[in-house]
Amino acid sequence: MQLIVRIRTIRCIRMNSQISITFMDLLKTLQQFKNIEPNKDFTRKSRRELLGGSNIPFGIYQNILRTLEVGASVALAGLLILVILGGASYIKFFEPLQITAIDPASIKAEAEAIDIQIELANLNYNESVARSAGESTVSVVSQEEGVSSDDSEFKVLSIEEALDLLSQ
Amino acid sequence: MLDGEDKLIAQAIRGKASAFGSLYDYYQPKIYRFVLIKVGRREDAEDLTHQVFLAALESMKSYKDMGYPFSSWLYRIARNQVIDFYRTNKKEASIEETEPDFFVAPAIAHFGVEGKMEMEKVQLAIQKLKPEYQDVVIMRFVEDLPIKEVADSLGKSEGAVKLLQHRAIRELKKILVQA
Repeated sequence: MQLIVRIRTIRCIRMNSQISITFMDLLKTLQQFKNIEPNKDFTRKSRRELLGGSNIPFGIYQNILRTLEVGASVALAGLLILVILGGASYIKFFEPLQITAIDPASIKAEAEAIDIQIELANLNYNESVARSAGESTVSVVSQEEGVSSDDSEFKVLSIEEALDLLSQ
Repeated sequence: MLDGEDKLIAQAIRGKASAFGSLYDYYQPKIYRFVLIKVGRREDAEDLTHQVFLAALESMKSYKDMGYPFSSWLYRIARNQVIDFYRTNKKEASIEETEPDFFVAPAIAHFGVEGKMEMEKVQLAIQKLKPEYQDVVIMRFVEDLPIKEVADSLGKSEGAVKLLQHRAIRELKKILVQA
C-alpha cells in the first residue's frame, strides 16, 4: 500500500514538474505551509516540560531578586495597612463632633442662655417700640390741641411732658 | 510581533514562567514550521522545536535587547539546532526512505491529495537548497517576515537578503522543473 502511494507520489511530482512554474504559483504553495500547526499533544507536553516550574534554570541572583520582590510586596502591603489604620485614627482625633465629649447639662445650660438672650433682645425691641408709639401718640394729641387752638405749629414733647399734659 | 513583547521578555528574563509561556505560545508554531520544512520529518521537527525553546529558556537570563526582534534570536537558535542535527545525524531524509506522512503535519491533510503532493514536492525542493536559501525562503515567503527581520536573524544586510531571496527563488524553480 505504501509502495503504491510512493510510486503515485513520484509519478505526480514528475508530471507536475513538466508544467512551467510561475513565481505566483510557487508563492501560493509556499503560503500554504503557513497552515501547518504542531500537534497539540506535543505542544502541551513540551510546554509542560519547559514551564513545569521545578526545572526553570535560573541562577542564584534571580532567586534572590524574586525573594526580594516577594519581601518588598509584603512590606508594602503592611505599610499600606498601617497608613490606612493611622489615617482613620487621625481623622477620629480631629473630628469636630466628639460624641464622648457631649455633656447634657452643659448643652441645657447653653440652650437656656440662648433663650435668655432672645428674651432680652425682645425686651429691648418692645421697649423701643413702646417709646416710639408714645411719642407718636403725644404728637397726635398735641396736633389735635393745636388744631383746636388754631395753632398750626407742631411741638415735639418728651414722654414726661406728654404725661403731664395728659394728667392736666 | 507579539503585543507587549518587551514587557514579556523583561519578565521572562527575571524568571517569570508565565511570561516565557506567552512567548512560547506565540512563537512555537513559527519555529516548528521553520524546522519542519528544513528537516522534513515531523518527529525530528518536534524534538528540535523543543530543543530550541529549552535552549532559549536556559539562555533567557543572558538575553540582551540589541535592537533586534526577539524572533530573530529564536530563529538563530533554531538554525543552529538544525545545523547540529545534520552534523550528528549524517544521513538526510530522502523520499525513498521516509514515509510520506512524515513530511507534513496532519493539519494539512484537508488540502487533499493534489495539494498535499504539491506541498511535499516544494518541501523536498526547499530541502535541496543551500541552508541560507532555505532560511530566506521560509522566513520571507512562508512566515512573511519583513526583510529587516530576516536580515537580523541571518546576520546579514537587507541588500544581501534581497539578493539571497532572488537567488533562492530562482534555484527553487530550477529544482522543481528538473525534478
